[in-house]
Amino acid sequence: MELLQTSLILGVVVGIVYSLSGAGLVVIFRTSGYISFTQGDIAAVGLFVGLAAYNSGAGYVWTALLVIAVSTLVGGLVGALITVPLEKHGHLPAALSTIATALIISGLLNLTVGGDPRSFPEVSRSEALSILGVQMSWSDVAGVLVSASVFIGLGVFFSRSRMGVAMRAVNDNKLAGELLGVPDRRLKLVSWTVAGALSGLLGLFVAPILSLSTVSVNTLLVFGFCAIVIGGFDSIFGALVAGTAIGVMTNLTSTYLDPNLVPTVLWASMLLVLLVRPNGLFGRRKLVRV
Amino acid sequence: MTDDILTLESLTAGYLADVPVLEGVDLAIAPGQAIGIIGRNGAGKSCLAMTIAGALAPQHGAIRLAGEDISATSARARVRSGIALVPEGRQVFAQLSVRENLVAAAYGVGRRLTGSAFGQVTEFFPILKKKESHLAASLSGGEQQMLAIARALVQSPQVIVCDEPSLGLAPVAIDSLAQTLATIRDSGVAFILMEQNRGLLEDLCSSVNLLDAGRIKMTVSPEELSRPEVMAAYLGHAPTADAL
Amino acid sequence: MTTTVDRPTADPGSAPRRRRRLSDRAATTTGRGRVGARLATLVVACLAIFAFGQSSTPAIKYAVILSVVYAIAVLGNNAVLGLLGEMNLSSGVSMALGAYAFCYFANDGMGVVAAAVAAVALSTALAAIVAIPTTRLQGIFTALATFALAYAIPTLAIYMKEYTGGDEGTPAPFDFEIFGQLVSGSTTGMLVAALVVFAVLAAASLLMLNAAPGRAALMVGESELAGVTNGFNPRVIKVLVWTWAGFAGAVAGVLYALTVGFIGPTGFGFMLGVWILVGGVVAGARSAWGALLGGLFVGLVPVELQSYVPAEGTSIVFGVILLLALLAGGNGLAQWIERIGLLIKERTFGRKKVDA
Repeated sequence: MELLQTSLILGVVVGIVYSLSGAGLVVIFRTSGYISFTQGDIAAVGLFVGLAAYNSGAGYVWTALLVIAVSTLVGGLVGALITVPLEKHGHLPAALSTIATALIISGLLNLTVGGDPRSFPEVSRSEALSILGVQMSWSDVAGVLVSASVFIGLGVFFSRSRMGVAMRAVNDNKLAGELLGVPDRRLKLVSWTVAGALSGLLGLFVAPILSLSTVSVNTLLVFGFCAIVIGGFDSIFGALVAGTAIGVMTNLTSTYLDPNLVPTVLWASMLLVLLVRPNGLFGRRKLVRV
Repeated sequence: MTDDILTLESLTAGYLADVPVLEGVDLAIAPGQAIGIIGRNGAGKSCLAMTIAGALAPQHGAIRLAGEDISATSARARVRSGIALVPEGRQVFAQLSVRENLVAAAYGVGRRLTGSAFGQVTEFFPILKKKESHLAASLSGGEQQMLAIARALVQSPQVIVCDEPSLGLAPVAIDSLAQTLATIRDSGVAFILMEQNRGLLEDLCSSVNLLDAGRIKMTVSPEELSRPEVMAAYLGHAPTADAL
Repeated sequence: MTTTVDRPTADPGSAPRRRRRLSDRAATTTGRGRVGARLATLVVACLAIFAFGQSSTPAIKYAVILSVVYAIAVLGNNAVLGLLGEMNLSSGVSMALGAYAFCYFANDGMGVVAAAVAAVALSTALAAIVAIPTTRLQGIFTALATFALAYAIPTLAIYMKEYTGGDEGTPAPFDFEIFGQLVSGSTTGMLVAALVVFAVLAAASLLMLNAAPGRAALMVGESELAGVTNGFNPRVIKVLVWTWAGFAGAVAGVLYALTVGFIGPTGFGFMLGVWILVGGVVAGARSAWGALLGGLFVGLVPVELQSYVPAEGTSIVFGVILLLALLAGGNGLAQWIERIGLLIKERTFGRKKVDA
């Protein structure tokens, strides 16, 4: 029984972080209509810079801020210099260019810092609270709180703020956006910058758990993909719910079945959901009027 | 003609660099005036609309807004300087709500959609207020057209270029559209109306220009549209030398 | 048509010639038409690879054989990429299926040929089953679903250790002979076998591209609505294209097992699917002989690069090449080569008469 409780509660905790890994992807998707495969590598750059600062005596707060600042910068640069300009050839080349960027960044990281995993500092391992006998550290609590507030923030941003609405408008009808003077290029760059920052933030919670290597954040992005696909790309709330569900499900799978089955279960549930509801559990069906 | 808000001077433009669609178009519109552009399919009406809106760059000639040459500026700059386009085919943001469409339009000119701006616009189109939170894709064709015009209005333009606003509308809807556009015109906004519907032109415009193969062939008053030689010129049967 | 109109339309030969030039250009950009010339190019390319493989060191020859194997997977994936315009990241999965099933059947006592046929049949059937839900998705969702699948395969292989040998992997047949030639590792028999299989599949895909199946798939890829109004069921067409990709991948998997002699989960990481996709983009998704270039890009370039770039950094070169290919418009190397060939042809044969 205790095993079940642990996997349930810790499942919720990691699940919320999973959904955070989908957040950056959603920001880019809702503005540009494609997915970035390079967010993990962008986070890794920030994390390695942050780790170097930490090892030379910077405090945790400064390290965290530095990580986010660097990922923001790298994310903005990738968007501005590579992906957004390539959109003129279409969505597929733009999405492929994010794979190219991922290859280049991970190659550069492998050359400079090497592939060995390192440990990364975390908020605090000390116990914060205990729910139903399951202990949670301050890091867990911080992860949950930060992710949840990022998600609520994004939800409000896209539905209430005029910039968020304009971003969706650009994605909805590019020509109309242009004719109405909506600055689509600038909005896309903003989305890449914000997505970069979110990746860095995600990295702060992932790196201590998985230990920092050139691929560790990428691993989590797979979960993020699933969270937003299952939840529905246009539903921020859906991604949060789906992420949590995935967290619980994967925890149960690895506890009661086999850890090696986790990715397969993920894929199967993703496909299953898409079969039943092609726009995700909480996604809105696209209304088309001819 | 210094009080004209928008003037086109021997404007030549087209979709490809060396293939002009419009050739030497001259036009002048004063504030509160509406002029019509009539012409067959392929005459260059949409090209003219896109060129004025800045989506196409002119090859020769000038576009002046309040005397200032704006022909080299971007679509975005033109929207901000006061030229709004109601594009052909409406082009609403289908997956956004009615209100969000207006928010995005206001964002295009760097503004917030205030309650009073929303109120003002929906006074013209009450149905949009009723359907404020509906997705644009769920609106009827006429309602989408209203939304497209409302989007232009929240940008508080000096000139509105309407490309085929009556296309696909029921006759009743066209009548009410004409009334609304007349009210907007009388508030001091200049209109350029690319149209095929004679009723709308007669109700709104002080003059109508007949566009044929990229040139303005004749300028007539709306009443003259029914004259046989004008109709013939529009349909392309009359000897063009006489018409000019 | 015997009316003699005396109009100044230049010399009578120029109009057909101009039309011919236009159709040549269209052929390079669409990858369709000029079937004879393309089949010839395909044969020449295969012979060139054979000559190159034979004249190389065993290590390079081995890399060449693997390249041809990858080329088969690239060829299959190109149908999804070039016709439907979708991103499939799971080509490595089809290879894994083919390879594992082949080894399982062969180790279970089946003859090598029977095992290969059974493995390809099983994998193709599985590919069709997976394609049914996958093709319900569109655009980026397809990419994500295939990505998740590709990501799951190595751990799934470990989980199913009864069939796959788990972490340790499983041996492949190493004493298979055709016409007295050993087909295994870096033998000449292996090279010939891979090239022949590639050539047959490439020719088949070239012919299909230029016939009804290619037209149907292209139409569905351009616009599902256009497919429907022309009497095709887009879903069926899509499933067929994906199944073809799965079939080619499975064939590649069988040959991969024969070449490597041993398979394990590390050989089929999700990057394999990425490489195969990238190979197709760089070489040109519409070109049959171009798939060979894509295969070389995946199989040989990393080996050759190692003398110039440290192994950890090869992905930088790959990324840069992919970016350059995308910047050039994403048409791929094969199309540029065909364009240059056309230019040379026009210079040497065409211009003189047109100028006169």
